[in-house]
Amino acid sequence: MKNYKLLFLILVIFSAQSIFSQNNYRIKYELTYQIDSTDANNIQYDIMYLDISQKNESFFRPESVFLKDSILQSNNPNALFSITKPKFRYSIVKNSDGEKINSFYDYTAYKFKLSEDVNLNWKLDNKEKKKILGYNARKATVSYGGRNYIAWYTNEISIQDGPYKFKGLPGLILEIHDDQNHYSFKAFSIQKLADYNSYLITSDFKTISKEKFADFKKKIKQKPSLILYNPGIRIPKEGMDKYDRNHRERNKYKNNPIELN
Amino acid sequence: MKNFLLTLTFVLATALSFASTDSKPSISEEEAAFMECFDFNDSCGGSWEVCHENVSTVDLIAFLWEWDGGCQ
Repeated sequence: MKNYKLLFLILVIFSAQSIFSQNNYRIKYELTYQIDSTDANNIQYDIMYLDISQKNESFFRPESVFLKDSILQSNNPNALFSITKPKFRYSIVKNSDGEKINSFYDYTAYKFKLSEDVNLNWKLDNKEKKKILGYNARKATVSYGGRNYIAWYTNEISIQDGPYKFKGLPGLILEIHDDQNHYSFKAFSIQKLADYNSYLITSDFKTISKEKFADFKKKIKQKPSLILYNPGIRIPKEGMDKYDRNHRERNKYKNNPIELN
Repeated sequence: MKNFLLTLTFVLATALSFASTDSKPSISEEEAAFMECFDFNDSCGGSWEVCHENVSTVDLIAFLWEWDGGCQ
């Protein structure tokens, strides 16, 4: 009898995994973050997509980056002017087969791919539980990028993934935030997608090291209009100067990146 | 926003099909002779002359969207 129970449990887990692995899914998260570490009132929001394809790949990016990529490949690229600019420029691609995470950064004139091994040493807490979106969620903690995170995941959805670079828990991460609440991702929708196109042309991106990418970011902080470099386009100098002025002003308050080291 | 989009669509459609020989301080007459120019209306009420050559429509739109006349 005990063996039958065990067999039944294995079948239930296996069938749940099969259902989730045979479909494409979009999990929408609300990202709440404090852009200025010295100003707790300066809170910003963004909608983020975690798209999971049947090919065991996941794509995590701001909604506006997905819309930009899809509009520019449509028959009506002019529609781009109807969307707001993304606050983050990354698309993070995870493959369930390995620990390597690829981040694709689109800076208009410069497109970079950054590959890294992300090892997350999760600590599972089987005592604390809560309901999120109707799912039973369990608690886990991890340290990454100079922050300590508290995550809530559900093993009722056998997708071992989550927002940003977080993955590797025995289920889907529905909520995760750092212990200072500077960055918080909360799932608010789980959709099944009939078919899926990532609209991410990875061959357009040039591989860059972490060090060189850090140098690039320093350069564009000093001169933001570098990302607009295009020898085939001429605009009045005042147009570029205005772009630099306004972006430098905005960058003054951006002192709280998600990864501190 | 609707007016801005309509203006931009009209401007891009006409500008991409007619070359202009107008010269501006930032563009030499020699360069301008080979470039196509149009007026771009940004989202904060500014109007700018933009000239281009050998640039795809997608790259031009991506550039203008990112730049947006330097508006916030």
